[in-house]
Amino acid sequence: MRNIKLLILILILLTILQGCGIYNYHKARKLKEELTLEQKRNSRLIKKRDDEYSKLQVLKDSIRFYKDFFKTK
Amino acid sequence: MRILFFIANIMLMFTHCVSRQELASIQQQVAEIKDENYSVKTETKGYIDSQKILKDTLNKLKSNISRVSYKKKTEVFQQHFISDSMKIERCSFATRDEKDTYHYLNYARTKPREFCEKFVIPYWDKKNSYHNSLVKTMMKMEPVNPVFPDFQCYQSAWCHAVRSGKTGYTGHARNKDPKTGSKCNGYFAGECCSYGYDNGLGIILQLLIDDGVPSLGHREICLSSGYRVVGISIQPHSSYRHNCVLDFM
Repeated sequence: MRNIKLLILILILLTILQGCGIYNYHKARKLKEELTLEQKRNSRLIKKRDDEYSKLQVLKDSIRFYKDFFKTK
Repeated sequence: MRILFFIANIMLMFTHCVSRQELASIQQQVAEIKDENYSVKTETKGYIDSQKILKDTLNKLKSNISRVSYKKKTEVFQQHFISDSMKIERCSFATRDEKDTYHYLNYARTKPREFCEKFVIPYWDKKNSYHNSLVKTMMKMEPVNPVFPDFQCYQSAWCHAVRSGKTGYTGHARNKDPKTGSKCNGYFAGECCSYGYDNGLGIILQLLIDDGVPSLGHREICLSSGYRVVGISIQPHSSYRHNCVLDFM
């Protein structure tokens, strides 16, 4: 009788632990989805930043060229 | 057996579980990447803002440059450029227009920047890539040695110019005369042919701009430091009214 009570107690504890674990699992799955989305967004943003930076460099070069031209005038 | 089955069931129950530690690490990763995205976004915004400012500055500079060029435009036409090289003036076999061509060619070679400011920028068509590349090249290039008239080169240029003019030919090949069957002797290391112009500035500008020649071969020859002498001959042409041959050596 005592063994059965102990077994039931262990089962209840295990069920609670499992419940917590499953809750974390679903949370982690959502977070992983969010992570992949953010990673994709990150690569897109980095590409855009590099493009904008190269455009900026082109503009700087043009301005340098025109300023040199005026210096010689 | 029953105990084993019980343990297996419990193991199966925990396969879909995630520990708190693991969850915390994923949360941290998400937070880090979000921070990074935010910083990249602000950086990009900063670049775009800087671009706007630089574009305004560039437009102002461009408008200034066109204003300066417009002012100079009328003066440039009236300027008669005479090179300090007496060798060209003393050349007995060249005509006045051919001497002018020598002068303008040497002006472009020895003072590329000045030549560009005087003769190229006033006609600068900013939509034309050939014009843009010429301005860039001439404003950046170092001066090169002048080239002087040479009789052998002149003979070669004269023969080809006369033959091309008569037959209406355009190109560099030395063809046989249909009447006599004789062929012009080519004495040159580099040759440029210009069609349609009979004045020095027009010829040199046409060759330097080199519109429609993707290799920019004529410009390269005209501004190359490898040549010492040149023969220039301007002759009438049956299709283009005038043609000019420049044989460099």
